[in-house]
Amino acid sequence: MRLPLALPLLLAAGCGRASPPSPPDPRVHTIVLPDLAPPELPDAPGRAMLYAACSTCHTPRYVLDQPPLPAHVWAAEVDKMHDVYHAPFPEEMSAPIVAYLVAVRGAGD
Amino acid sequence: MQNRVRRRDFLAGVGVAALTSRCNDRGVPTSDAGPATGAWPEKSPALVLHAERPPNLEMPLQYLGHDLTPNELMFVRWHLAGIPLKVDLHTFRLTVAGHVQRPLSLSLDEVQKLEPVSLVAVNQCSGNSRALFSPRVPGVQWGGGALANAKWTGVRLRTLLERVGVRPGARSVTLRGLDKPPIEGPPPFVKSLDVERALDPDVLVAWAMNDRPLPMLNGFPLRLIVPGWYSTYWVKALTEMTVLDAPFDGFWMAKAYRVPRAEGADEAPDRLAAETVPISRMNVRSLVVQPEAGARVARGAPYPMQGIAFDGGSGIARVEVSVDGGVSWRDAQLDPDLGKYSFRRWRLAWTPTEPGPKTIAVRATSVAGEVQRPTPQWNRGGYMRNAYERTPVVVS
Repeated sequence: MRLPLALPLLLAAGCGRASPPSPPDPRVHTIVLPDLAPPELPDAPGRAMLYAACSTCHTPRYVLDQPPLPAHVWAAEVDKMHDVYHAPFPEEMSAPIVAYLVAVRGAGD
Repeated sequence: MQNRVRRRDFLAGVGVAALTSRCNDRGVPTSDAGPATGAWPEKSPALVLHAERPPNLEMPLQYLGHDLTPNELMFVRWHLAGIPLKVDLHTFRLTVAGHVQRPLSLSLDEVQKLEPVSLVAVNQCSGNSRALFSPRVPGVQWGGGALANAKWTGVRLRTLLERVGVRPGARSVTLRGLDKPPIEGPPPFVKSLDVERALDPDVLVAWAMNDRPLPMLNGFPLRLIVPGWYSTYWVKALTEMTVLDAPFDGFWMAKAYRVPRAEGADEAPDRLAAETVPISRMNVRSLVVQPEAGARVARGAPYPMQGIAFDGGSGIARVEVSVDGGVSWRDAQLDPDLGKYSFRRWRLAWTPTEPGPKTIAVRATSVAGEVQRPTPQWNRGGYMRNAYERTPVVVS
């Protein structure tokens, strides 16, 4: 009869000594995104400028997702990023970035 | 270790992709989007990666075999890299303010105490199938899988607007989520609906997708559901609505997601439309799910073809299928109706008699009488594709 009584006491004592980890708050929802390295873009003049101008806001994979596009379409995209999305690059960087995009994803005009 | 291997495989995949152009399920070259390696929270590893920052993930077309798309498989599309990674329901609030009598600020619990409404509705990105445009256009190069169908449960937006008391002269309601631009400068993602559209009793502020909480990447804890309209209006992690006494002219309405006013959203690459309007209602569309493009189909045995059709909210009246590339057509059978905003599954048995290549084509007619177009439209945004889709197969 003594043993069954002692067990719960021991367990209770064990619980009391360890400080229980606080359970996650079910009212706080969090996610962790996978740590995917951005792809390395093909090497061509202007690549470093593109990285500097574009990758603050989005992955350079955006470039690889695009089909070959004519130069005027690429120029309009870069102008849109600069003028409307206020991407953090000076206007004089636009031409070399467009040249890079045409080199790696260009199509005849 | 496991992570390192995964990353190495992933980088190797990118290297291959950079050398060889990928093709979509219809044999059309698309992009160098790779497989979605990496564990996207609450999402299936089957999704295809277009971008990791912000996350843009596409569902392979075979999963259109589900009438209700499992939450794990629904496509993911964000515009701004500052997506919500943490939502604290102790502090989360949905606010409705502006040109109203009694501004409102509600916790999720308070929203969920309002009368719930459920409906099944198609969620389709405006640019779904952009990769099929010819000539090609910039933007996320979706194949066909920026498309899903789910049961949504929430409160009517109308109920919230009645609570706040929209004042006379109200014109529009702006919709903003928890996502933010990663730096100062880019315009925050704010959309709007005209008040008349916002008061439609089928527009919901939803907290459940297929009877479960929304995955974070699909808009937890609340998402606007605008059945029949493209998902650009289905603002995720909805937190702020403002009633205006004027039309809203923010970037995402005035400059982005606009289509030619012309019938079919058509324009020519060398003669762009002078007049554009915000994209709105989905046009009628259908897709073949089985057989898949490139499949071998056995001669002399009935093959159970099936697929889906949907429109902008009148419902599907008729689906016709051709196995000779669009010369002759047969009516398909339609599965039970899950609601006028839902996928409608079509089925037709086909017993091929001759071996060789065949092209299956499908076209749907809506209850409102709209029929799919035989030839694709073109517009600079790559929006609203709804030509008959053609699926090449080989009979053997």
